Amino acid sequence: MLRVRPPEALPITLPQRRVYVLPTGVGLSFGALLIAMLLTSLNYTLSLGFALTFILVGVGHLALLGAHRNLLGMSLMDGRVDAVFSGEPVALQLYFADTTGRARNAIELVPHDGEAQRFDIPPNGRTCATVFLPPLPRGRYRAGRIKIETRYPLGLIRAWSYLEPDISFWIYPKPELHPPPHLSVTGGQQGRKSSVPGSESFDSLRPYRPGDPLRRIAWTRLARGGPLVTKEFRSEAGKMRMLRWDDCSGLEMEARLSRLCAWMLAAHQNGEPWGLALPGKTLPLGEGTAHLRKGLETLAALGANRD
Amino acid sequence: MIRLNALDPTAAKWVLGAAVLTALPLLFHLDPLVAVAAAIPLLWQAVRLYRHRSHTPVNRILLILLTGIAAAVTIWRYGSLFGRVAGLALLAMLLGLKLVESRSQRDAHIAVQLCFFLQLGYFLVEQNGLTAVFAFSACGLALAALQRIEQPALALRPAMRGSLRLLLIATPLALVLFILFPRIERPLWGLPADAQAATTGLSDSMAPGSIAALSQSNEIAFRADFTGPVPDRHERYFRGPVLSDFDGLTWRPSRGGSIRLSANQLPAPNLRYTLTLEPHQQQWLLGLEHAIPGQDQSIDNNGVLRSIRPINNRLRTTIQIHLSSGVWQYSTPGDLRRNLALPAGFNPRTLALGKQIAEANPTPSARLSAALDVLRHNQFVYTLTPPVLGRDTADEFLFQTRQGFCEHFAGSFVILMRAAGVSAHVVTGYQGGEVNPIDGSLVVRQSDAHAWAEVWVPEKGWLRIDPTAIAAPRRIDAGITAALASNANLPFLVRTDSAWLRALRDRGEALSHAWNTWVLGYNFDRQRNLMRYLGLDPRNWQILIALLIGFAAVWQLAVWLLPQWRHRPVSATDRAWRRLQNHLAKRGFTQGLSEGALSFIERVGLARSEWSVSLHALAERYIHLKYARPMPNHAAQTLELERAIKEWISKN
Repeated sequence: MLRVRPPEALPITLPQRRVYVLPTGVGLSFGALLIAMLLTSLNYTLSLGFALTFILVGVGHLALLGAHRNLLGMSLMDGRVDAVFSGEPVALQLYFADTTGRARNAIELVPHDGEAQRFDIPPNGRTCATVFLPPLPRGRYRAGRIKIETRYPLGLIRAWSYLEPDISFWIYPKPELHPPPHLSVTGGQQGRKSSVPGSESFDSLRPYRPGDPLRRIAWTRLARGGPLVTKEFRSEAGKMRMLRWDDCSGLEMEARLSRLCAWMLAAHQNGEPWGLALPGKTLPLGEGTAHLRKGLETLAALGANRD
Repeated sequence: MIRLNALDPTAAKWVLGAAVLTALPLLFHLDPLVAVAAAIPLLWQAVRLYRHRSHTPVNRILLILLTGIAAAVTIWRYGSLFGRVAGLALLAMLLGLKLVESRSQRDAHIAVQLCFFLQLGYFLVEQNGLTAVFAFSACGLALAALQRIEQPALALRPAMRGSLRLLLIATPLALVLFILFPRIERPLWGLPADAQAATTGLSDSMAPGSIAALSQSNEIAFRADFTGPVPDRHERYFRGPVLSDFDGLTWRPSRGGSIRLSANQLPAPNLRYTLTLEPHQQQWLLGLEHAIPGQDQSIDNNGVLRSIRPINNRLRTTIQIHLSSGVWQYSTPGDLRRNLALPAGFNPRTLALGKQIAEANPTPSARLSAALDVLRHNQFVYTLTPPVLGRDTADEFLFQTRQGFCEHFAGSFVILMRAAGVSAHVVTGYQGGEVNPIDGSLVVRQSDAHAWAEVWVPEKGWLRIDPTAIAAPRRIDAGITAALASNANLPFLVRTDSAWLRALRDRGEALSHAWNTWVLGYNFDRQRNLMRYLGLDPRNWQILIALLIGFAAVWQLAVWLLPQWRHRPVSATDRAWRRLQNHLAKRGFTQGLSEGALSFIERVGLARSEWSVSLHALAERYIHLKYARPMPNHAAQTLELERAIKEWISKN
């Protein structure tokens, strides 16, 4: 398929015209064998030879049919990639389904760039196939063109199709491994004694909001049969970090992003509210997973528009 | 694309199983030494698989050594690598060696394809029910192995079920192709060397096995176009060379001067036919009994009709026959004396039996009927693959094996007659043939080659005696395939006198006759006969191709459509809903796979508010029928929903 196709909305069901078939190498040699068998039978008037040859002709045709039907009508229901940091392998998870009541056997998922993965789908069932893409630099990506192919049942015929699902994902900058501590903390209460994280000396409880760190959930409360609540430490609530582009001056762009990323993760880990100030882009103070994701995406996208 | 993925051991086991099933009938057919050489690689691979060593590379030197030994043993025992049986033996050895060195899936594919070809190859040697069973089991197992290569999770039973399904679905197509694929009249290319010597035609001598080898060839020997009706099958004895000299092993034409007869010594011809003779490099022509020489022809006192030149190209000539009830009697006393000679020291038991017959019966005709009784009452078996006879061929054939081909019957009978003091000689030629329905000409093939006896009875002349007809009448009545129905492997059934066993045997013979005629013997002539029977023009092979394409298209359509129809059990409720979906799809609304009926309708309702209420009601009813507990009036409600949907569609 050389024509460039815009990414398709999910789910994608493979229609007849998108499944291609061609004989494999051994399929071609099987064809040559059939011709040799036919000529031998003709020359020696071998009746059973004719029978065997013609049965194998039928079997060959059924192999073609089987391979084609193995793909025909199967659907790609959904797909996602969990955002990862640059340098980590990217796992593309694709959910395939059969809605026609036929088992789909030995289908290979061949990503544009990466290792093939083999999967089956039970009749009327679904299967998640994961392919690992090679590590990528930071940025926003599309899943790209994916090839699915099968040689089932006999390996004589290869059927394949291309999918270009509308799946996009982020690759965050690689966090620096041992960053120097971020020193500038805003908000005056710098001198106050901070409580040990995880101790019971919290200041107040508030109802759980999605995204609160697990270690701040009042598990003892929950164990006693209470509601799901989150502990709030006044000491921490006072700490507010503004992560600035200039805080790590003297470094290259990617190194800066790496350091900012590492600080951002540390602040999130410690439950400190943090903000981000980049050239031309500022993220106000905040906390929680959604905030972190936004911050990481901002770092990942930085400069992408300028390219 | 070349894939060098590793072959999993289970698939390797199945491929080995297929190879063993393929090679087994062949191994029993081969020379024991060659069979052992062919079996060694198979055993080696079995051991490797058993010890889970199939992934370790084999010793190259050992492999090359084995290949060399295999080739050497084959050449030693068969004299060549490329004969029919030798070639098959070599192929079986190569298959085994390929298995031993296969580690990739591609290797396994090659081995499987070799298996398929070897199955076909074995049909060159033997085509019977058992061979077919072996071949098709091996084929099924090989297909299972191919499936296993693609799907490593497959167990043997579902894989075999899959193979069986493939084979069964392919059978109707194979049947149609088998019947309709145009057959050819003569081979595309020459037959291999070991077939060549015998298949060029009758030679002018008869050594053991020479005619048996000839009978395997389907090549045309000659055609005869009769001006009148074609003579009856058991009158169609086309005489070739007459063999009078016997050295204990081989029959040869008489070295004594035969006398040439001139046409005016002979009666006037009353039957003519045009002979179209394939070249055989000899001089003799093939005349029915009592030929009269025409132009460029001569005849001797043994009744052998010759062309004055060797027949090096296809010859078309008229043969004149004097058809009468009389017998040939132009023999000199010297001839008759020569026709009594027997080599000393051969066949003592036959000589003793002949002497006994001579003592009990004074006249030649009484001796003849006594000898015929010997044939009649000893349950002889007609077979193309008789046991190998030793030095005293007639003794062993008449008293021990009692299995033989026409040359055994004719040779032994002549020896017996000579021992009894009656002049006799062997006549070789062709018997039978088949009438071609297209042009009405008689087609005689090499497989119709035959040998019979002529016995001199004073005052009468040379009487034609066909000892084969006494033992296997079908050979003469219905041709060679029918005669072979008498199964040589079952001497017990053949020799028994029990009535029900005989009935069983007769039924078996009829079955095997049908198999021989309609399966094995289905050739050019039969195909054209069938066309004629169906009212088609037998000359027009394009009709066959057209029919073939038509039937193949029907088969293809059936295999495409049947599974779809079977795998989609759609309820009446769903059918009704689908009708609505299809209608809405035409208006640009498609229900997503993960979209429920209600949310879909809501989405449609947002775009087309005038449909919102009516569609919502339909969706509610559909969901109720599909998911709520079925009510007693479920069917009626479904019908009602269907009607409501149709009504809605007609309105919108």
